[in-house]
Amino acid sequence: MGLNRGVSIVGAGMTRFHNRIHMDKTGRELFVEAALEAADAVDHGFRFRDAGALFVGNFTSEVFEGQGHIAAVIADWLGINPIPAYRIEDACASSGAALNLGAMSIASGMTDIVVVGGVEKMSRLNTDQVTDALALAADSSYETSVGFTFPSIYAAMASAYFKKYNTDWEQLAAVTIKNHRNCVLNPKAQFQLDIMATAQRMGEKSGRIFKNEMEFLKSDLNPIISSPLRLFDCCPVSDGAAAIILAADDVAGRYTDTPVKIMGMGQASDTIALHSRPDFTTLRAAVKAAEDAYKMSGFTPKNIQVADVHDCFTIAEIVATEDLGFFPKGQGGKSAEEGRTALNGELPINPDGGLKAKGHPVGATGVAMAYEMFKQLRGQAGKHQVQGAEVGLVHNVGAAGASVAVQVFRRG
Amino acid sequence: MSEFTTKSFNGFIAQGKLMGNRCKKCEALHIPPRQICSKCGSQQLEWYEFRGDGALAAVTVNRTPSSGFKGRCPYSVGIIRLVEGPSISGLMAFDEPEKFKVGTRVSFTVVKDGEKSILAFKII
Ligand SMILES: [Zn+2]
Repeated sequence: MGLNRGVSIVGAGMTRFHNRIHMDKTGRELFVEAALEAADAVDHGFRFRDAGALFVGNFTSEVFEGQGHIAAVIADWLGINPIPAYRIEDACASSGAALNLGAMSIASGMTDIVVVGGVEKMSRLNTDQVTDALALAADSSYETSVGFTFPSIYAAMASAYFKKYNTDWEQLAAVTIKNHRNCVLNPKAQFQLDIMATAQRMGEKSGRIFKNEMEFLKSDLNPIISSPLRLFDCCPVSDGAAAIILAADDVAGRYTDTPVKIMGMGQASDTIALHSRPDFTTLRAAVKAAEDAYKMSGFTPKNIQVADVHDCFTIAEIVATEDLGFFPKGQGGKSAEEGRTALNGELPINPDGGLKAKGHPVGATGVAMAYEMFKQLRGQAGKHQVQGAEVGLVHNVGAAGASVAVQVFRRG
Repeated sequence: MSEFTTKSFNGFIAQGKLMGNRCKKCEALHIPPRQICSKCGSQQLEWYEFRGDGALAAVTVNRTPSSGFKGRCPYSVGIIRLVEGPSISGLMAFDEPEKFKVGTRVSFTVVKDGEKSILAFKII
């Protein structure tokens, strides 16, 4: 299976992800900012009215900001009525799914150009309310009803992983340290401090000095959220939006000489409850979505030179790098510890800081990953550029893997 | 017999019964009960009572609960691989939360929370 017509990204933009600076803005306003930046990034110019459809990934603007019908709201604010405007909801994979559907709409021949984006404005709620809102993405009848939350489901996954592979939390900490090193190099990231600088800043407040990153990460300043996951194993609450402009390959030349081509895509579902799966140490939907994306692209895991994977929790990045075929099962954590996934490693994972340090406005994340690939594969990623990268992959997960979207991109 | 719904399942929990269903075509067991067999697609299903014992396959001590579980914090919650094969999520009860580990043998119990009956497990 493949697209009957090639599709490329010709422009990409995103707001900075942050928990405070967007406090006074609504989701629609953040989306418009991201879309304007995407239009500006189109080399030969782009007007929103060139688009034939709009696809918006959003998890729950109803709960987070009391606004439903968000795709129509955004079409209106972009000034592009009348247009087919679709809102896509697959929890945290909402905009990865929107990207797939946007590409399919071009491949179908219905339109030549679409705007695809995602947005989540989470900071209006307090942490407890956000915990409740995110738990809506799990099985409310059979998981949250017995006390599971979103972090505790991934924590349970980690417990099974540790048992199966005889590993421990220190491997998770390697992911935290690596992603925080990367975020310092990305001005769009929510966090701008690596773990050592974070330890110094937080230590100063309580008159303590930490010798190294591990000493800080094992301290009470990094409290347990749901064992074994500590605060710095979890992505933060973020506001933000991201947008890309997709064009059919046969018209992309009007917009840019260096498009980033979608080589392959995949999407798969799995049981909503983690307990219904035979193995808690892999996401079957990720394995299937990746298999389909690789097959369509003609590439294998060995061809991937840079990847953004869905590290909503550190354990998720380790499992992702195994599910995507980058490392053998049980070796994902060791690979992170050995620096193989660092910015200067053999396969840089989450050079932008990942969800952990860049931030995770849930509905925006999938397209923000595509934004990162647009920059990386065109050599425009600035200080976190992976030198010479031409083929990249993104992996966007809904909740605990009940929805997964994967895309493989290549410099056009 | 009652329909295969969340309401029926919870009604049985309140009576101290851990009920799922069994596919008459392929004999697959399901918990909670489903309307369509996820293995073979059959709608020929019958109620099946699980023994209620098994071992923890995944577990965590949660310190940042959702609003409905605030009063219990910290508490242990996990996934139990039942002796019959399928797994189910439950609240770990009647012991220190840290005592529940992957591999710990547990059995079905019910924790009352006002009007609600929470599906729970205790150490055997
Ligand atoms: Zn069956």
